[in-house]
Formats: sequence, structure tokens, C-alpha cells
Amino acid sequence: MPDTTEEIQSKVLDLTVEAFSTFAEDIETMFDTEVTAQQSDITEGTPDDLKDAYKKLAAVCSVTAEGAVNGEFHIIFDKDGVFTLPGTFVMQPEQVILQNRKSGKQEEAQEIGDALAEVGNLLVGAWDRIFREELEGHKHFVQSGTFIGNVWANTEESLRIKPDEELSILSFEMTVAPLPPFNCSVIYPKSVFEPVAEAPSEEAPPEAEAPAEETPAEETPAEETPAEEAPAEEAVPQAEVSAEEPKEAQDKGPVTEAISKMAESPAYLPGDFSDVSGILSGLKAKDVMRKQVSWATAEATVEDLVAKMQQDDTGYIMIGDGEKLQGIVSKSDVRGAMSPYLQSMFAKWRSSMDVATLQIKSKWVMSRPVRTVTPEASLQVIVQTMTEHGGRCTPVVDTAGKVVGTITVFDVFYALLNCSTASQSAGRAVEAPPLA
Amino acid sequence: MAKSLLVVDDSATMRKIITRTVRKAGLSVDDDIKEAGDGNEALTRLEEGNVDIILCDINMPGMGGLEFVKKVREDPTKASTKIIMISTESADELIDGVKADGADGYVTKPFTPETIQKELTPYM
Repeated sequence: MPDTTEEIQSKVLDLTVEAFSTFAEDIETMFDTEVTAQQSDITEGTPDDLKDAYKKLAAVCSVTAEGAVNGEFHIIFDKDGVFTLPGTFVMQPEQVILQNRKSGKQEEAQEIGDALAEVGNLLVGAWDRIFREELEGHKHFVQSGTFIGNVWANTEESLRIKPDEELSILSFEMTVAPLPPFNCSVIYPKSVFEPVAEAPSEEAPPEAEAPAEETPAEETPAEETPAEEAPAEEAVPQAEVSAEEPKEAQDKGPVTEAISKMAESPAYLPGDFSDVSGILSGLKAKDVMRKQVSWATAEATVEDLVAKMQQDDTGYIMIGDGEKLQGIVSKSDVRGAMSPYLQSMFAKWRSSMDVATLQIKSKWVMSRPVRTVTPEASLQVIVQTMTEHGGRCTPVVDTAGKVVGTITVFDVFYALLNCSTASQSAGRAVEAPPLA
Repeated sequence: MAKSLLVVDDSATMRKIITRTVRKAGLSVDDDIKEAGDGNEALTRLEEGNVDIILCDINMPGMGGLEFVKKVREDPTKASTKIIMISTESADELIDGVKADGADGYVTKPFTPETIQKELTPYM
């Protein structure tokens, strides 16, 4: 067993590199994805030395050690790591993780805080195995806290160390393929390396784990908002960003374009439809909408959505609580989220990651914000809404904000067809089709 | 016949990961895998009936896994219910202790579908 502070420090730093590799292997094992951890730096300093690498939003997993290493130390993840590791745990799609890395804020990070606590749990497990095997006198590690937010607002609260405390800092670059790397550092206050008097030998009964059970994972409340939060108008919500992305449900596409041209010029319609303008302005949303609306919650999985679409025989699902609309998911959105290897013809090449795409949540694939129309809106307004804002399905919402129906481009076509057929039948004699 | 499962973990993320892994393991289990956030809630689920196998975390707020195992084993009507512990803790003394208290198996994280399959197959 190492006796001096220097010996303990040297041994612990060596084992930390090994423990981090084991942590990466554990994630690889559980989530069937390539994970690497490379040591990038080793320094001594104070918390201030970490400021450049861990700006504003970061996460800290605190671990309490007993035995040869004694006291609390911390693992800090940069913003990219905050979203990458927990995102991998909850099987977020790659594009959602990348989007969060780019523009995610405290709110999005808190949403996956539970998964971050599990990251810490797995990390502690991996380290415990390595230190138990290779460091004589090691007893155990216990996860003692998780912090997400602006670490620098109050380091005594976030890192639980004094601003001038002397630290050993071991930094790593981690990669979860195929995502870009992120940074993390292990922060050891030097006091944890000081040799402690050997405690009387007693076998730890299972009950000895009780303190860990009573330690809340979420030590830090959500109020730990970064001090330099962007102004409201600058804080681009994910919804708005995703609305700008090319998504099938939002694209104008040839069908919507065709309707648009009809709205602009009745002459575009094949045949003699002299009263198309009248139809477009005379028919209202309430006349053509489908009253049966399919709903799912934002937490519903792609698997749930597929089942719901089949059950209700619909191509669009409203996301929300049954009245208030949060977003909309089309069949194409669902198809885009699912791995193509789920098709039966690819079954023999299918991996667990492909099956896992069925667990993607609707809130990650839905389109938002959703453009809606009122029941009194004319067909002309509906067509204009679809054309200007994209989307092939428009929810109809009453004055109380409740969704009372939906209209798709096909409903518009059907209404036009019905009206023109009725008008033709009423105005002219029905002619027999020409003989071939 | 498909077995009925109860997954007990204070982390919703881990409950989901365990459920997903069990399904990937290809075992014959009910579609509706029950969940509980701690030992107390798990006891309530057990009272509702029809649980063959429990997959249980150790470190949970409220009633933890160790106390939960003891409680279940105190009830002779639950003698046939199998309890598999799942934890990152890998100390031999802990594993031996919880098995002595009545747990039927122990899975250390990280686990894979193969690990889960190996541990649960004897009880299927």
C-alpha cells in the first residue's frame, strides 16, 4: 500500500487513466457504440485554471472515496459532453445530440439530468472495479452529487472546492462515435491523497451502503441557471431551429405547390373550373376537416407512434395532452427516425442499435411550431398557410385553443374535386366518355 | 409461458435501459414490463400480483434494494418470486450478503443482452 502523499497521488493518477478507459469500454458494452477516452493533459493548479475549458454550461459528477483515497473528488464534462453522454444513454438521435451541443441550454440539459446521474453511476462502478483490484487499501467510491449549470457562479457549491484550493487535474478527450470529441477532467483536491490512519478492520456489511442510498443524485436545483444567460430573443429555442430545418412535414413539395398555383390562378386547373375562386373562398375549415384527431404524448416512442398510426389509419399524429398542441409528427418523420434495417428484408444485418431507434421519443422528431387555422378559415387561407409555412397537414383550432380537427392537402383536393363535380353535374348534361 | 417482470430503479433512464435490454435478450416475457421507482413502490406492485421476476437496483432513495429483498423474503407468499439485483457495485461481500438475504442473482453494470439472458434463463 502506498504510504506517502506523493506515492498515493502517483498511483491514483495512473489508475485514473485506466479507470477512464474502463468507463469508455463499459459504455461501449452497454450501448453497442465505439467510445474512446484519451488522456490529453495533466496539470496542477486551482479551479480558475479550468475556466477556459469549461465555460458556462458544464456538468459535474462528484464522488466520495473511502480508503487509500479519502475525500471527495469531481469529474467535470464540457457542454458537448453534457449532451453527448446522457444523450447516448437515452438513445437520442445523432442530430438531436448535435443540435443540443450547438445551441442547447440549461433547460435541455436538465431534461436529461436523470441520464447524467446514470453516467455518473456507471463511471463510479468502472472506477470502483479498477481501484479495488489495483490499489491496496481502497474501500469504495460513492456517487455523492450531480451538478448541471454554470460551474463558475459559485465553485464552492458546484465543485465543492474553495477557489484557491490546490488541485491535480487530469484531462481527457472522449469520443462517442460517430459524434465529435468532447472534454472532461478529473479534479482531485490534493487533500484526498493524504494518508489516513488505518481504520479498525471490520467487514463492511451490506447496510454500509445505506448512506449512498440516502444521497440525492440531484444535489443542485434547477435554479442554478448560468449567470450569463442569453437574452430571451437571442435564446433560440430548439423548436424554432428545427422548424428551419428541411423536414418532410414542413416542405412545400410538389403537392402543396400545385395547390398554391391553383389558389393563385384557377386557370392552372385542368378543365373548366370557372368557380374555383368561389370554392376556395366559400368553403371553410370546418366543412372539410377530419374530426377524428390522433394524439400522442411528447414522451411516446416511435414504436408507439407507428402503432397509433396503424390503429387510427392516419398519417399524422398531434403531439400534446389531447387538447393543447405541442407539435405534429408525420408518417415521414417516423420513417426518417427508424433505422432502415428494421425492414424485414434487412433483418439479418440488423443490430441492437437499429432496434433502439424504435425508442426515439416523439418530442425529438416532431415538427414545431405548428401553424394552425380556425374552423371559420376559408380554404383559400388554409392553402395559403400550407404554402407559406410548409406542411401538408394543418390542425384546426377553436378559440379556446382546442384542436377540433385536421386538414391535409388531400382533403383540400377532395373538397375541390367534390365541388367541381357537383358544379359540372348541375350545369351540364353528363356526357359519355369518348370511345377509344 | 411468458414471465411477468418488475424493474425497480430510482432512475427512469435506467429502468428504460433495463427494459430495452431484456427485450433485446429475446426472453419470453410479458409485453407489459412493470416498473417501480423504489422498494416501497415495488412492494405495492407486488401486492397487485402477477410478478415472476424482479430486477432490482441497490442504491435507491426511500427503501433501497437491500431492505426490499429482506421485506419480500419475509412474505412466504412471495417465496417463488425471483429477485435479481442490478448494480454498479461489484464488491464480493456485498454480492454475497444480498444473496444470503434472499436475492437469487446479481448482475453488475455494465450489462449486455447476453448477460441478462444468462442470468434470467434459469428462471424462464
